Amino acid sequence: MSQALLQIENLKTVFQNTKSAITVVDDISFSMNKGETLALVGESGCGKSMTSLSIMGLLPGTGKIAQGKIMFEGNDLTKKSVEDISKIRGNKIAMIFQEPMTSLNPVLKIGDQMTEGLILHHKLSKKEAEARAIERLNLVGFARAADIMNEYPHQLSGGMRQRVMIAMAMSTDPQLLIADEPTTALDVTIQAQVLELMRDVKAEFETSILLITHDLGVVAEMADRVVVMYAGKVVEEASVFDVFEKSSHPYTEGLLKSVPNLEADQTRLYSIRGNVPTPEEFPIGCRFAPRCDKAMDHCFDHAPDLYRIGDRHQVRCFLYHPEKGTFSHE
Amino acid sequence: MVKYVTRRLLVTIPMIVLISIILFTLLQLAPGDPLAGKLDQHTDANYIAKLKEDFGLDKPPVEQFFFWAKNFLQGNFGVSFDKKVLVQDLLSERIGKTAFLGVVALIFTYIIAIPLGILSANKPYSKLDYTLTSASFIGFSMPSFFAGLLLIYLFGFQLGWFPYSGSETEASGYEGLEYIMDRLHHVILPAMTLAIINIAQYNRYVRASVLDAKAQDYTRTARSKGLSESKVLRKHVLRNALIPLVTLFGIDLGLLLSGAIITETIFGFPGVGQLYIQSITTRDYPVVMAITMMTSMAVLIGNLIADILYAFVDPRIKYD
Amino acid sequence: MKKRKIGILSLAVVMGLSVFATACGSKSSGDGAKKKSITATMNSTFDGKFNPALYDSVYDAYILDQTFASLWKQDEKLETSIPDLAESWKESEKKDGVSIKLRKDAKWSDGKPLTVDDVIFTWKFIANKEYSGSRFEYVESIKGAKEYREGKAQDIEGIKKVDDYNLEVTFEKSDARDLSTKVFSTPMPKHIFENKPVKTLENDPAVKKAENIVTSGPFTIKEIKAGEFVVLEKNKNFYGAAEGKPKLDQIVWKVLQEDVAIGALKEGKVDMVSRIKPGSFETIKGFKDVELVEDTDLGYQYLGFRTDHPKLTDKRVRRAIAYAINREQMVTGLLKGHGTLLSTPVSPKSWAYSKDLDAEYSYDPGKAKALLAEAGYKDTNGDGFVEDPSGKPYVLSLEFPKGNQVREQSAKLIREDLEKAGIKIDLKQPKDFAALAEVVQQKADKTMEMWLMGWTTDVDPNPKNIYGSTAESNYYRWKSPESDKSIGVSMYDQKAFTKEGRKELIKDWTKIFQQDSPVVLLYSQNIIDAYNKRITGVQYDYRGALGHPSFVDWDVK
Repeated sequence: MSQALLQIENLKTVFQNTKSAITVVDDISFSMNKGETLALVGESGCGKSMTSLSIMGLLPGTGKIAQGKIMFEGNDLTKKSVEDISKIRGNKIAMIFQEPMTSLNPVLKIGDQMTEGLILHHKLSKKEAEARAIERLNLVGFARAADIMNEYPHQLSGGMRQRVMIAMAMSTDPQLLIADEPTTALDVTIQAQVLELMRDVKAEFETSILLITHDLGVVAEMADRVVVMYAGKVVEEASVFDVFEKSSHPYTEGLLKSVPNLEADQTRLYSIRGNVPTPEEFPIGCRFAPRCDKAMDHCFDHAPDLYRIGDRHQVRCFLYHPEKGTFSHE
Repeated sequence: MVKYVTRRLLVTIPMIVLISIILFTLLQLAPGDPLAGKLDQHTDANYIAKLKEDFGLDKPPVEQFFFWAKNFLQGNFGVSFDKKVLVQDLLSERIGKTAFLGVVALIFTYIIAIPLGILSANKPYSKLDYTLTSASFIGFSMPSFFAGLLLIYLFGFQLGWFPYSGSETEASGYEGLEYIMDRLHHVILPAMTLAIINIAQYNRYVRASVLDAKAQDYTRTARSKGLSESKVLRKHVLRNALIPLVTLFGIDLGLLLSGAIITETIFGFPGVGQLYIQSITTRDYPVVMAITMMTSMAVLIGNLIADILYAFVDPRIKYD
Repeated sequence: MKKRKIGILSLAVVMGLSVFATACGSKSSGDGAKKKSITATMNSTFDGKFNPALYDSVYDAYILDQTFASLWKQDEKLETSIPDLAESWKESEKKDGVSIKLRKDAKWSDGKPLTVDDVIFTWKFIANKEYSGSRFEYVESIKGAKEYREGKAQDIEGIKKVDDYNLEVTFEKSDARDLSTKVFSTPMPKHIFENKPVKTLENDPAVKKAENIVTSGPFTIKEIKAGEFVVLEKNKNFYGAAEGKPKLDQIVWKVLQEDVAIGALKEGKVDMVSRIKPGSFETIKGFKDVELVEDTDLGYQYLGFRTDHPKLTDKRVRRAIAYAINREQMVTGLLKGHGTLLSTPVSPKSWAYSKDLDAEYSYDPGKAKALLAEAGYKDTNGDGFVEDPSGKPYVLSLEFPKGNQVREQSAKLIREDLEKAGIKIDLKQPKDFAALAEVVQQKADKTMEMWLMGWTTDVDPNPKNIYGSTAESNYYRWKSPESDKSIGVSMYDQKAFTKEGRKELIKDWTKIFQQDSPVVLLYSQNIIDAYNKRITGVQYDYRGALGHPSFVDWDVK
């Protein structure tokens, strides 16, 4: 089997307060192969974004990786110096963010922002970098790319800006593109365009995409495999097919049920009761138990492991415990 | 842009007229006769009456105002009631000195406050940050006469690095570059005194502004490109964080002209401020009017310059 | 790493500036090494009208004292007796004229001889109707001066030039007052001013620009920086130059706020500080190498009554107030002993001063109460304060100006003292000097009752300008025919033409003044000067050290 492009092993990310440490990403592991699109799914506050920022080494404030490995092309990023990370970041791993409106620097021209990564990582001259930037802007659908280079972000619409972000991220031909909710802030029609674009880009450059989203519609359209996160933990990992056809974790089921379905004649949209707990108040047992319709007594004071239930399909739920039936279900 | 500036300048005119009317009225209403201060057993009634007539004080206030305004428009600021000499003669030498003091103080403010603010913001809540924060609060709450005396004592008397008073060496015979150096040498302590409060303010402002910019999404984007932290700071954070300082510049210009009063008095630095305070105590209205009008205009023009500069540094602002 | 660079860079800029500044600092002190130079300070800026007939500010006067010679000067008894430009002079028996003989070696600083023509020119300049200054009073006594001013005469009748160095002056009438009040004594250079317009002379370079000012005294003006300093340089054409006067080569007058000046005095950076506040006395006393001198100043502080105000027309009330105020306490407490108690408007330093009048108005609250009772002011409702004779509440208001700390504090003491004596005081908030002066001077004002202010007295003890019924400065509106008559006698009576006789007559008037009590004389603050002991030959009197004519003999070790 070929070596995984990205392999996360037992990653734990904490925020150090003056008094205590808050764990936002708790012992997660998953891996991605080259050319694969992996969707990291879950509600807001599940630790998806923190996972992606851990990979990028861009954790805000006092956030830091407490344990685990982030193996990228066989090297552990957590062991690398700031300088070495900088060489990978924006080069082999690029990222696009959720907020296209604010993610571009308002006082710098698009061209300036497009080329700085190229000049830094590929040691291109300004001219060469500009040529490459224009080429990438063309690719993401700007007909008048040369003009766009001379414009400021405020002169562009939200969709245009996200396209610029994608072009910028793709400018250095990264192996891995991390897209954190790339379409959430966009209009529905624009969303489709952007997703289309990402698919094209992937096809063109064989880039692996780590897609972070809470939108299962996007997952269905884009992903090869899915990792479902809840309260800092991976609760289910499966192929996109398995997730939609044989979703096993009650949380995944809940997520799926809350997607509007035109075929089923729904009168009311389903929603999982309650809210994602904040890291300070994670339950002792299964973290989903308080919101789970299928929760058993056992679930409230014992934390389940990930149980393998199929080919590359794992679930963190006592319902799938190898010795199922040991626990009473009332 | 030209259209905008013209429009702004046109708006400035009624403002200046309004300021002059308000100022004149206030001075008329303020108790105290400019000539009453000349309380002296030798000043007989005829002499005072003659002065009143010479200065036009025997005329009704409205007529006095128009007389003043007409002269002011022609660049004639009138005659000082107290010193009986032309106001422009009194001001001409002093304006240059105050402006010099103000500019040096502004330069001090910028070259000290901005780097310190950035340092603070780079390591927020660190020991350095707390030290700078405390220093800022001390600087901010320190009365300028105290700051002035402290600097005089330390650098003028104890260390002897700088002259403790005046704007140039007496009877030095300096010329050319030597003279400029001497002036510069003299201006440093008063300019520092004047700058202290500004530095304290700016330092806080820059710190907050840089911290804010560092938390912005575009900064995260810049970091995600693999740029070094210093490049992120210089290219992305500072450009955004320092733009708002331009607005302060307009206000500073006026403040420095008028705010130098105490500093100038302590350092025996013969600028406009020293004259201003003297003229207020003696009710020397032509001088008070001239200085206040100049200060007001400096503030208005300073703000205009700030607005124009803003359009240059912030692409989001456009005037048409 | 690079963020540290920004910090280091900014630090380097500041350090660099200071080092460079230090470097040029050491250079600047090298210059005047051989010169005998001293630095004196003034608290506030000079106006810069360096002309004896036009100046208004006392700080201009400091400079003029050292740069312009006068016909004569006053001695330590305030009598005009020391020759300066005038070699000798003789007043007529009836005090209606004076013949003046100028010294022949007197020159202007540009080398032109100083003659009678300059003296006459100056008098005519002041008597010119276009003249904008305030000193007509000093030539008014000369016969024909008024006619000349009014344009009725081409010349001033009472001035007769005998030759270039001899001059005879006739006065309007016999006048016992000191020569200094009858004859303006500081000449201006005729050859500089004769063709200039009289009216706008204030703006002329010959008054303002160092290189254009021509002087006659020990020093000339070398450099003027408005609001900052004046540099005086030895006048090589001064008549005393032959005898090696002045001994100093240079005097630098710096404008320096008192706190800084005292610090600079301690550090030896300035040599003389004048008119120091009494509060700073003890601080300076501890300085090494610094000499402190003090003497009674010519000025005094007073509490004025509007004697025409219904509440204050009864002189027994005014007298009661004078007795009720503990003035001793002001001198010892507020002035910390650096002042003098006053009971007569004649300066204790003057030849005309009668010490035996001092006893009047020593602190006596009992007498104050008795006088109030006698006038019908009694506490009828038992509130501790007197009511007026008709039984209505009696409250007196007291106003005072801002600016003089001791005076501001004295206002509170006065209220305490008067309320102890049973007079309720309405102490007003202090006003700006100009604001209070405006009301004090208003002839129609009916609101004022009592106020605090000060006078600077003349060399001559004549009280007419301040206490005469018709005097412009009689803000107390004290109309006393008896006093006016007495003042007249002391000026014009035969008996006044001798010193002893005049002293008697002034004493007679002082008694009238004391009995009527139009003002309460409070205290006279001492003039305190301090100087570095490296200056030798310093003398002092009521003029302080800096104002003393001995400055021509000052030298430095």
